[in-house]
Amino acid sequence: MSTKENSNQSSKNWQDANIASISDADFNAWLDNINEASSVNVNDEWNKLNASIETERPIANGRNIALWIARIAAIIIFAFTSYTTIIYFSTKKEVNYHELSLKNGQQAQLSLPDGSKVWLYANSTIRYPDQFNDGIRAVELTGEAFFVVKHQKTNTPFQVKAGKLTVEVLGTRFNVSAYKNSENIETALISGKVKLSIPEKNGLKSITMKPSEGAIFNTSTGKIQRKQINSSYYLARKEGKLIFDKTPLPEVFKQLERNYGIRIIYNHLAFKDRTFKANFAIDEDINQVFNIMQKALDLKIERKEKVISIKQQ
Amino acid sequence: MSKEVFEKIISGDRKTFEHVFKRYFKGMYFYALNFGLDKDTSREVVQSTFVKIWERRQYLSPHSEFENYLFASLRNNCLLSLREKKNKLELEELRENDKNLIQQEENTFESISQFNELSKTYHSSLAEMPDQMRKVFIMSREGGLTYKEIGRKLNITVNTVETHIRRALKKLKNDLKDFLPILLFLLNI
Repeated sequence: MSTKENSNQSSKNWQDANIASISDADFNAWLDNINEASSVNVNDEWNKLNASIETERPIANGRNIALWIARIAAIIIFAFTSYTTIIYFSTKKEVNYHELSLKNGQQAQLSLPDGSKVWLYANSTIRYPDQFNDGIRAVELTGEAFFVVKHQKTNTPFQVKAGKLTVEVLGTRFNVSAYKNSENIETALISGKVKLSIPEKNGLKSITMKPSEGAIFNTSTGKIQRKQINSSYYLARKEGKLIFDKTPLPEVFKQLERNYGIRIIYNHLAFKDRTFKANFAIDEDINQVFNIMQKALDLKIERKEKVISIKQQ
Repeated sequence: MSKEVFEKIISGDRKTFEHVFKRYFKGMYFYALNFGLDKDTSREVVQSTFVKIWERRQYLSPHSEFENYLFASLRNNCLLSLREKKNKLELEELRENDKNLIQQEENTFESISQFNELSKTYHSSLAEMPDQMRKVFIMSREGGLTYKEIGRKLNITVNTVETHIRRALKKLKNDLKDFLPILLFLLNI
């Protein structure tokens, strides 16, 4: 028995030594082969094989050709809408309002009249006056933005109006996500203190948040759920990065939907326990992102214009 | 994969055949590429391996697991294809190699059966790279651009490009370390 152990040990050493000796050229060639073999479409290859083993049945062959033509016709490549930014001014009580809307894969940083900074994300709109008056600093948001609010000596509160929810702060860093197509409005606090105000039957209900805390307000039930947040995600995001660190797939899909203005269809039960680790740039090519995800997670991804269906392989 | 699969294929069960095909095609293609065959030849060899098995299915006997039979057929076809391209002198060398190959057979077949896992790990490793590093790496590998061209496109120095590539390779080598023994066996072919 000891001989066997010895031989196992020596074969292990032999292997380690050999692994260390793998040349860059061999390793590179091997990586190229992995990449090449991964990029094969097995369904196409199967169709090819089907055509060559089906020669004895010409009818089926004809059907195959028709299927091929239909498949080719079904390939739709679409380009993203052009990058345009609309800024317009409207007059209301002698105050000029600025409105900034962003499209897919866009991100903008802007300074507000009080020196506070806003990082506005894809598919989002912010509306703010060119001057803050009346002892309040208020902006309106649909979609998502990160705020770094400058504290003022006068203690003038800063308000983000996101649909039914109002987020009020004095000076702090936080993120608000209030997309029209989502029934949730999410607030994530990085530092400082914020107060959320929600309309109720008799007046307003207020909730105070602590740093590293998130609050999800469900606009249909009116309920608020608190959770721990990952601050580094929000901080990286404003630098133009989408960072996933063992993030549950439903959350990953949600971020991708928002960034690219797409709709992802998937079975929540099948994916809720799976996670993904990745670093993407917000302007990274959508095809590249899905190509890597598909292969890293062994998914079946089908894209039809702005709707993407994701299944287990 | 059991004998049962073998029996089903012999009886002409197309669904089972399709299932096996889709499960192993990439791994088998990978094997052929590692054999030193070019892309087109590799594809053809894998395709013809499946065609031959299907056409001759009535004459086969399900004496072993179907996988073993399939992979051994692939190996023979790769050898034949390689032989067609080599002259006699090299043939002698190949014959020597054949002996080694048969000994290593089971190990090299791991590169087929584990390919899907390998591909997943490779792409997870790509996903985890900082986006700039990944961009540089993909431009260099798939785009075939020189370091100079990449540097110009991304507005970074050639030195930075080199650093990205070196770090990317180091990460890949580390992430793929469980699969490196397979590479070793393949190198011995």
